[in-house]
Amino acid sequence: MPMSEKVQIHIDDKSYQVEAGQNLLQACLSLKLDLPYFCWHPAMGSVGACRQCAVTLYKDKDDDRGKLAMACMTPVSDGLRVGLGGKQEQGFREQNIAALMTRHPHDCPVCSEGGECHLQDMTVMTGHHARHYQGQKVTFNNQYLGPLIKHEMNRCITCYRCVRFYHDYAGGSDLCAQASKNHVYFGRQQDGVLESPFAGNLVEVCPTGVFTDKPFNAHFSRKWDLQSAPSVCGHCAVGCNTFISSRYNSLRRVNNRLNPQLNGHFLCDIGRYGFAYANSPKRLNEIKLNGKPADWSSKAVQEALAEGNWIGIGSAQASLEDNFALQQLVGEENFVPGPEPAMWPLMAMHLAIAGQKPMASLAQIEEADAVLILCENLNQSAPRIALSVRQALTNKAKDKAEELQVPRWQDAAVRQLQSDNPVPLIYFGYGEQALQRQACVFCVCDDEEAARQGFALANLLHNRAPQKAGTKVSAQTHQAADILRQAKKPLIVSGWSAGNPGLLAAAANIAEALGDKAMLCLVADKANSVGLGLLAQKDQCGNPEECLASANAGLLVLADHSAKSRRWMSKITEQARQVVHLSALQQEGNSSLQLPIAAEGECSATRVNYQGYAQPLWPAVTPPGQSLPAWQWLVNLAKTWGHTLGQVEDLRQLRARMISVFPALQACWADIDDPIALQTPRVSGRTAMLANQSVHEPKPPIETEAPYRQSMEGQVGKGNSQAYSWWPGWNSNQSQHKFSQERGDLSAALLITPSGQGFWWKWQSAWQKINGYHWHLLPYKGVFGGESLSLEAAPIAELCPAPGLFIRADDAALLGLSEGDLVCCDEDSTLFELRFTDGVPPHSLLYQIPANHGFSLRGCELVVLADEAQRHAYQLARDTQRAGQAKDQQAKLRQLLDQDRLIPVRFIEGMG
Amino acid sequence: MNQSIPIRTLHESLTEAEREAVEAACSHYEQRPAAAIDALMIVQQQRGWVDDERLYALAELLGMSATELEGVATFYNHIYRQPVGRHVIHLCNSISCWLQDVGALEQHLCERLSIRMGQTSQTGQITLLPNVCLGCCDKAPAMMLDGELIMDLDKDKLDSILDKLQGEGNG
Amino acid sequence: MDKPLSSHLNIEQPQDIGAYQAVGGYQGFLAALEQAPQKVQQQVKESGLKGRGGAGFATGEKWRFVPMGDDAPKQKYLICNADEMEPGTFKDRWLMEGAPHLLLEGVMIAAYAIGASQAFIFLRGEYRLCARRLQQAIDEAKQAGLLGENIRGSGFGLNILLHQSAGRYICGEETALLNALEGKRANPRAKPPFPQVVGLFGRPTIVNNCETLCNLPGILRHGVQWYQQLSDSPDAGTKIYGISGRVKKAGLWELPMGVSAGHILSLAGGMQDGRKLRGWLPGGASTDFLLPEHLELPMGFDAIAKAGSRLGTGGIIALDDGHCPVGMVLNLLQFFAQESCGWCTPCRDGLPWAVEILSRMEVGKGTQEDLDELSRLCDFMWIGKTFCALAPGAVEPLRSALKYFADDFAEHVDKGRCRYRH
Repeated sequence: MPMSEKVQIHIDDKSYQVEAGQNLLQACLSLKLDLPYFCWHPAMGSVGACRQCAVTLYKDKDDDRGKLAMACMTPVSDGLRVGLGGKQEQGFREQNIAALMTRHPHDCPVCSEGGECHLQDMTVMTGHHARHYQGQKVTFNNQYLGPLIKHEMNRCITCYRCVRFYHDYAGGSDLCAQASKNHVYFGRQQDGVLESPFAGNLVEVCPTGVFTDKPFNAHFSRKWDLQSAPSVCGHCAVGCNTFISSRYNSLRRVNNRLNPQLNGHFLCDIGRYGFAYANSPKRLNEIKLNGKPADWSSKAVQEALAEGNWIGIGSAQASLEDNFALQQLVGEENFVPGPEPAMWPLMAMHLAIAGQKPMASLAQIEEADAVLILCENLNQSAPRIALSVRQALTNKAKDKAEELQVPRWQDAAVRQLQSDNPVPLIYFGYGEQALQRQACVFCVCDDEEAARQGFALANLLHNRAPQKAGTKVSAQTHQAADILRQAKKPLIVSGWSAGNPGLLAAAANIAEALGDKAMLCLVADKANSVGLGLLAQKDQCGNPEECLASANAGLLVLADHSAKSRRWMSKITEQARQVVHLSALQQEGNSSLQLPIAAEGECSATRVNYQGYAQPLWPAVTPPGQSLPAWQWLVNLAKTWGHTLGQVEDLRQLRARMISVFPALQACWADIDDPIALQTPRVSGRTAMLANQSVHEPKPPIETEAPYRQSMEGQVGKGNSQAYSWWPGWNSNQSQHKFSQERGDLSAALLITPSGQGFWWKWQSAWQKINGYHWHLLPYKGVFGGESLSLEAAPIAELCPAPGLFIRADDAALLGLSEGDLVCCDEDSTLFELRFTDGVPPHSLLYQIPANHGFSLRGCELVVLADEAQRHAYQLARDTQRAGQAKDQQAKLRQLLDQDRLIPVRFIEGMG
Repeated sequence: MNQSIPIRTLHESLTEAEREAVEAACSHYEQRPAAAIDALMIVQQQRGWVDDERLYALAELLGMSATELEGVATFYNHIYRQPVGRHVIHLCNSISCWLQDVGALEQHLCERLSIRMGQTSQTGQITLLPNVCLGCCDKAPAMMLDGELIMDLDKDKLDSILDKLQGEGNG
Repeated sequence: MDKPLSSHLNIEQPQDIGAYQAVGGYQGFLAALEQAPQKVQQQVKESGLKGRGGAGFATGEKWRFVPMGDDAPKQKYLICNADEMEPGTFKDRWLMEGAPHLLLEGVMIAAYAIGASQAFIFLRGEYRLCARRLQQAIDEAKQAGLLGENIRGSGFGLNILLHQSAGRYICGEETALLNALEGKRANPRAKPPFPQVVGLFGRPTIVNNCETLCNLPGILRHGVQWYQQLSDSPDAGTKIYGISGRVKKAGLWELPMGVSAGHILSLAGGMQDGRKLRGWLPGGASTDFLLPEHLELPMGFDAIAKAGSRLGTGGIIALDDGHCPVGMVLNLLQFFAQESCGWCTPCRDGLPWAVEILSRMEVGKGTQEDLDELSRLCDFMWIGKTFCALAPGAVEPLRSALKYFADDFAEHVDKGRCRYRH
């Protein structure tokens, strides 16, 4: 909600102008005043539980006694007189901390939150330093909560933030407050993996060390020893902003970097934990020729890379720089936008629509008052968007609250009002997700039917919208039309996950039919799908299969790690003269030469999100072994070929070339004269790596192009260009709360300018599926395992479920199958665990399969029960796989820990 | 420890009478989870306490998660999530009973049953629990035995009650 | 003297509906049905009835905020707060066991006045006899056509549901009670929104105490004038007063509002032989101590407040000279610490802190610093600093004990022992 109106308030007899509509705590923080708090959170509103943000309110100038009140529960109003630093309120705040400390252990030295603990910061802020309480502390048992989160209940200060985030905000039902009085316990009914894909946020939401980052704990570093850089998540097309942090040149963790337009304060678990693929045992660290280590300058490698006919296959998982360099090197006519032909029409459609209409940001999505989701598996394709849609569902309750003179940030009141003031959610599609359960209109159908109904819906809303002849308009479509007509800010969501461009067209038509009030959000497939599409738009290799056959060409491939691409790749590699992969992970088969490239957090890069925003990301480490940024390999190759790309000496020059094609990128990489410091002033307080020898430290080797300095020198950074979250006295990530209102300026550039001109899409026969199967097999990816890169991150791999086949219970009954049965489709070798759900369209089955597992059937005749031998083999394979994963993970961790011990020595000249 | 939820259907975990009673309770409220406390009490009346299996069954019946229902169950004083004896004594320990020296009675009870407050006698016959003010202040000290209030307690009265309960156990 | 609450109260065998009607029962409700709901509200407002649950808020005033008229939400709720758990308080149990129909009639009148078609009696689970008698009364009233659809052709319909709580003192707080009725953890809710507008399941809701509702039949039947004449104090009507502790005959009496505590003590036959009164809590565990010198004060809202305490529930707890004031305060604070819902910091962590100090102090292991800490804790848990009134209620006996029994506390510190312990 825009809050532009200002009011004047008086704090400790000084006058300030603050935005109306907010609460006093928010106002104090935005004025950079220190006021401690725990239960309040800028995204979650106020509940008044912790009582930490007490201030004194004075009636007028003459009132010298005042009344204590909680700032988070007090709306700012013109003329409000507030005491912030007086004895009364300060004394209370100190006592409140003292009360919390009657239970909190003094285990900061062994707590992984230590040094970035909001409770520590707030304790210091109140001046509390000595315990008066003499009694026993209450103690609790901890729970096993899965591979992502460690639980340490004894540290709990009962601020309720965890359950307010997990249960209320994110909709998870397996973490609740239990027991009462000073025995309140936050946990599950019993030990077990937290079910929500947003559980990782507990690490940042918890003001102290109850919920900590388990993988980070395993290879731990204090925050002040971490080297952080601003980054952008590479696991879906949203492009959530992150900090990526390292120590001793190994990546340790990712946490949230506030971007009010996109991720706000929260990430999904894929984004938080997926980066660890860079530390995977499958990491490619050296050049490999036919599976064996090889040297760049060796004759064999140079021969393999000899000048000739090359076709470049781009990747939506690679950066704009990498794809650009590849396209330059092979020529536009020989550049293929990724190894999944099914994605090309989606890419073209997405760009065409984005060229008409702006794509709603997450902040805009959260303003919707009606939502239509057209067959998009949001939970997997863009979990963070699903979370934003969930927030939009509270908007009518917030409006109602305001009508009752209750501020919108009064969280408990809003939740109380929500059941009677629902924001309508309409779902056309299949599956069973948290969002679908909240839908007031749910039409179970496949992608084709959803697209048809979408066209019909647009036609109901606007008589000029084209309709597919012969469509039987469903009752739900009529309901949807009524709802969308009445809405003031309807949101239409669709995307690529069902693989049907007709859905994008239908969504665009509905938005067009609704006119200016409509918001549109189309979710692209991968982190840089839109960037790749932008390059391909120029000119595209018509049919690479033909090119290959006719020209005896070689393939230069930017790796795409999803299994879906494998089938097509194996088909075309058969005809290729030579296959060269530029990859961060070892490629299996098909590849004659593998060049190791930098992964997440290892080099500067740029990706273009679903909206068309180019976002830069900066490295926190150097690439391991022989790895280079892919563009650098390509430039090196160009040099040997004498290609003009070889004239590029560094990233800056490459980018200059890119700017000539995409002038808007200028804004994204604007030169910063005064570089930003990558290290916080707190680094001055840490122990030097080689403290026993010298306080001097070797400079970490890092790219020079980044507008960042590897030291405390330099500016702190404005907006979200900051390299770390820190403010004097605020060592936790919650220092961002103080800046939440001024982070609007993004150093991102919009590469697609919507024309605003309307256009009606007509139905195309290509969007119809091939009939003739008894069972249609519809892809239905899971959150964990649905994305290929994160699947190489150990904690995510652990959460990846076994392949599942979803069927309606009544269909299963007819087949004599039960839930949990092991089945396969026709003759196919993939074994699925059978699961029941109502969200399956007639004559269809949903298959859920890890992204690295090949499966290409689109339909089948029979669902066959596995026999004893198959079951046995399946179990054995799973056990072996699990044991293998655990072993690999242990080995990698040991290696990293060993490396930590060696690093200080390695850094000294002559001892490496 | 990660024990798995028993794979038993609702129908096996709850009796038909229990399910009907829970359904009836649900019909009294606008939302099914509102009947959570009634539902827990229905099961407890039948079985003495609410075990995990019943908790899961009730959660399913009420349309809430087991963790949500556990959060409710553990909030209230009179929902037992641990087994209790065949008889449960709640001894009032609030002010009016304190003024009538209920402490001596507590000591007597504990000695006779050879247990501490919060425990169940070895035979599984009697569980002894404290209770906040039972609202019998004019006839203090008071206790609740299997849900019924007993007032004007003294050692003799307690003894005769315990004799009766323990006699029943022997016979 | 008129005793509209207890004249027909029979604890052994309460009146059935026939007997109740024979002495004018349900006349008040039928009189209400003849009038517009707003008119009923007006009468209750004019009567000056104040809530008997402890806070003493004017009942008519409370009702005024319920949306009425055609635009008002169709579904509204009336809730009888019968979660009597205030230590030293047993009046509601007496009323419900002895005169269940009186309460039902009060519920019906209140429901009619605010336009609620569903009422709940939120009864504490330990009151099983009350539950049986109330349920029987409800069944009788249904049978007699006083509950159900279109009662006596008035167009007004009402159901009453008896809800037995699973036990928590905080459920007596009206917003926590709403959460409990919704099957949730009974944490209190922030106000605004007030329950009158956003209450049970988000609907307009009134929560009135059991005794408060029992006053309504008389007001409707005999009128405002009559009601105000019941008492010559500033507070209207009669009140169920009680006393417990080491008095000769603890019990309850219906008396005009504003009789003196001394009178109540005398009705109880005075202190037990050999016991002297050292202090008293006027209305349950969450009220400040008063001294013997305050006995002649009228037991009215203002007079008791002026003396530094609260009328509360009107259930006096007498401290005799055979019991240690420090021990008594410890017992009281243990109760509140046990019953804290755990929502806000000062209550959840401050009360156990006070209990820890008092536990040491009572056995003679306290220090002067501990006494200072107790004073600080009193301030820390005071009104406005906590989320609801539970902890400030706990502070009341503590802070007044520190004042009135300072010598006893000092003796525990100085001598390192409690003289009441052997």
